[in-house]
Amino acid sequence: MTTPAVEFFNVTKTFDDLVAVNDVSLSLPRGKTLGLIGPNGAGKTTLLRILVTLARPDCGDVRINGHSAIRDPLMVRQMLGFMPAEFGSPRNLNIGEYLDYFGCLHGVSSKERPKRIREVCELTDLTGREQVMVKGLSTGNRQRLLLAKTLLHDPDLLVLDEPASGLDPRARTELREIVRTLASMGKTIIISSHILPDIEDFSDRISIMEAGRLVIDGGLNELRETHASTTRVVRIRVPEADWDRAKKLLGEPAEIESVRERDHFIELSTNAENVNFTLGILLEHDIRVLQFAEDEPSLEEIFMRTTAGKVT
Amino acid sequence: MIALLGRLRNQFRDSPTYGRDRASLFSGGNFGIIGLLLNAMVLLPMMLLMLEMNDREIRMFLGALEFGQLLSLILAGGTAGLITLLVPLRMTTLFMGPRTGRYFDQIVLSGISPFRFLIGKVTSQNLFLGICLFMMIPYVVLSLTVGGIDLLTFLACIILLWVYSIMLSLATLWTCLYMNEVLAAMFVIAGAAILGGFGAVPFGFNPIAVTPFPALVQSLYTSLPPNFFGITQPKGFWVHFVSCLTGMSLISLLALLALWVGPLYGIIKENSTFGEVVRPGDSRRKRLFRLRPHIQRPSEIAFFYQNRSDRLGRIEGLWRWGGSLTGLTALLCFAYACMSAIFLIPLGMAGGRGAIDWIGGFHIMNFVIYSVSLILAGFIFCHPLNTTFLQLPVFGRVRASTAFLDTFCFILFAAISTGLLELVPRAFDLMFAIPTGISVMYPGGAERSSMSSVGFYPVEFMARLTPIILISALTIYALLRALCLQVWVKSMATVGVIGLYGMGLCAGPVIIMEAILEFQHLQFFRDMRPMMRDIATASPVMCGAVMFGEDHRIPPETPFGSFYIVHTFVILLALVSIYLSSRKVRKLYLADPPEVKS
Repeated sequence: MTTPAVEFFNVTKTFDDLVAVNDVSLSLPRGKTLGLIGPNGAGKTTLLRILVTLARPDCGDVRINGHSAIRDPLMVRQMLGFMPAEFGSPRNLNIGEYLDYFGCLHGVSSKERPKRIREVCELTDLTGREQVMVKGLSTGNRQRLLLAKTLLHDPDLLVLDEPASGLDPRARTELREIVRTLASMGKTIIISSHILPDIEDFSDRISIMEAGRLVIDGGLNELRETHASTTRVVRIRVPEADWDRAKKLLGEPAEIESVRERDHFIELSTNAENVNFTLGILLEHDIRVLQFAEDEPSLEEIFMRTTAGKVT
Repeated sequence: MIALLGRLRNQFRDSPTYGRDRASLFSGGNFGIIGLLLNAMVLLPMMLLMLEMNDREIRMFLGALEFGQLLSLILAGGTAGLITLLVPLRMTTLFMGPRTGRYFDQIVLSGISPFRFLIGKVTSQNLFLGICLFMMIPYVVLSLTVGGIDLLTFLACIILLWVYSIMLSLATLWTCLYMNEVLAAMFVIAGAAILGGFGAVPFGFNPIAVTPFPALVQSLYTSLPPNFFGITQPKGFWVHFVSCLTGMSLISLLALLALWVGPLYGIIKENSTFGEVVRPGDSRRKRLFRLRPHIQRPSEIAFFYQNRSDRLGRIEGLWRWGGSLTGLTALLCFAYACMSAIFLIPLGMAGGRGAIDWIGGFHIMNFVIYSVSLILAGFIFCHPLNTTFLQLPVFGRVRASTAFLDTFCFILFAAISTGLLELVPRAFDLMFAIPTGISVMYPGGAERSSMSSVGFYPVEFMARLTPIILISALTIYALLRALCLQVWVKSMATVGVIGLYGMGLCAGPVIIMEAILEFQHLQFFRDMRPMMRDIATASPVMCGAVMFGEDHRIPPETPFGSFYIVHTFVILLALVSIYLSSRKVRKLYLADPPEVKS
């Protein structure tokens, strides 16, 4: 059996009287993307800092590719790339110098560095901007630069803390594309964010934290099945001629909770188990179904249902 | 060898910190600030001289010098002053240094080795010195035009400044491993200023040649007329140049070695790798007491030592403690050898009997070396709370905790030094003193000296003074260990011990004795009069003073019972404190996380 890329074993971390992370255990296979979400003060950043060896848990252990982050931090540091939420840079550097500085820190040889810098600039769409001073960069470009810096030593595991924070929609979309590309390259990615549609978009697994605890953890479909509301909204379009008949038929069974018209669709609420039943009613009465769509519960809905807004 | 040199060259050439520091230093603002400060340093002595122009001595002094010579002296001295002030401040990033606050975690995460990080910082000081020298060019040109400057000497002074700048950088970084940035900078600046000040004193040959000042001021003293205010004419410039260069190079090498070895790394759990300090009750303490000495931590540089290669880690206990013990013992032997060599001179010159006046000094030096070595050992074999209970590999499968190794090595060293204290006078006696017809170890009476009572009965004297020094050292060590279990940096614990022992046990009893004698009109102090001797002799300083006949208010034969009682009590108190604190610290600082079954 392959060793998981990341494993947390009963990790607990307290600050003063505050329990920032409380008995968290989870594991992530290699090449997968984990979205870590939670309200402010849920303990996400502390958990990530423990993972990247910047904080030491009070108890428990964290392993990356089988290496303990507590016993063997140096080895672990070489395997991961951490993109912090806060941007910090030495003064008076341009993008090229900034990347060269971090490349040098990571021990990329002076021969390799220019090539590697070119590659990461290309990947993060910074090509041609190497001479731009870091100080004057927009938030979007700063995030790209941080990501480029994180990729310089080609780590297997990427830990991205709030990468989309403060970005405009276009920059967010572009960043999402970059993350998708990285995932397709086989990188294991852990990403914490408040922007749930982004997480929903590219995460293989979702973990929700609240008040230091891991509230839920699993694949998105799994979460939808287990944690979303059982009521489904179904949207149906039928030919104009059959419109009234269809509405009448759908309004009769007790299994269907409500029926209404909306944007040329018949929108009805029913239990998840009865979705096929509604379709069956129409087909039984020879009504042509032009469009049939079941609204999947969003991550936002799951998040709101599973968290109570508690902070540590 | 060539490959090794190539690797070393690459360490300098391909250093990330060097590149960053270069980018941070080369700005118009920095150039302006350096220029202003350099001008201030150069012009200030000139202004002072001009203010006192009517003073006869100053006029005589200036009359003896050529203008160019004076200018070159002020230039070199001003630059040395500027370096003394700014290099430690830059190194600790307190002033004009690249701050790493917001991206420090990213540097640590890169896994860069501490040595590679630090070497770049030191290299960047060359640029700083280069800027200073560049700013000096107009003055140099003026000085050369006016005349009176010896170009070769001036270039030699610049070499000294360069070595001085490197030495200050390395010394600051070394200090940074054991205290925070502000304290480290203050410590190095104050140390360099004091040593520089002593270095400028016109000795025939200045032994404090660890700054460039002895060489820099040499031209000044040699230009003065003979017997000018009784100033001793120092030796030639090149003698000073070589001694300063050697002294500074030795300190630089020592600092480089210390930086390579580094401190014993133990994570400060309360603030993990770094960052905000959080410990029960700290939020409240922060508001009440801003200094927070109990949560002072070493400079951020110390945290790079987690990235050190594991090669030496496998026998860390052996090389670290074994090396310290061997080094200390070697240093002690060297000190005794120097002492013996120094005392051989009067012995040879005086041809035996005339050297008897030196015997007291010989024994005093013997005890001074013994005391200093014990204090030094106490400081070395002691670690703060985050490393006290680390389990370290000693050799093979043998592991031991830092606390055990510290205690073991301190006791072993105390035994060695006590043995040497007894052995050295006897060996000196047998090898050098007896062949010239005298003895430093006679039981008393026959060979009286009018200079000191020490020479009368050294055997009895040693038997009485040795336990006093030993027990004082043990008390200091116990207090240091107890305080080290409360704080994260040893320097803070040391300050605490100086306060507790220095003020409480050394000065305290003496102050009480003086108060008893001074305020006899008060009933309270009159009542204490019968206990005065006992109170006073609780202090090791007073015990020493009594034995050396320095305080005649207490007769030399006074028993030192109170010293033993008070010190035993303090040691017991420290041991109880160690026991109670260690239970708490052990729980908090388990050397390794508990095994987790996957």
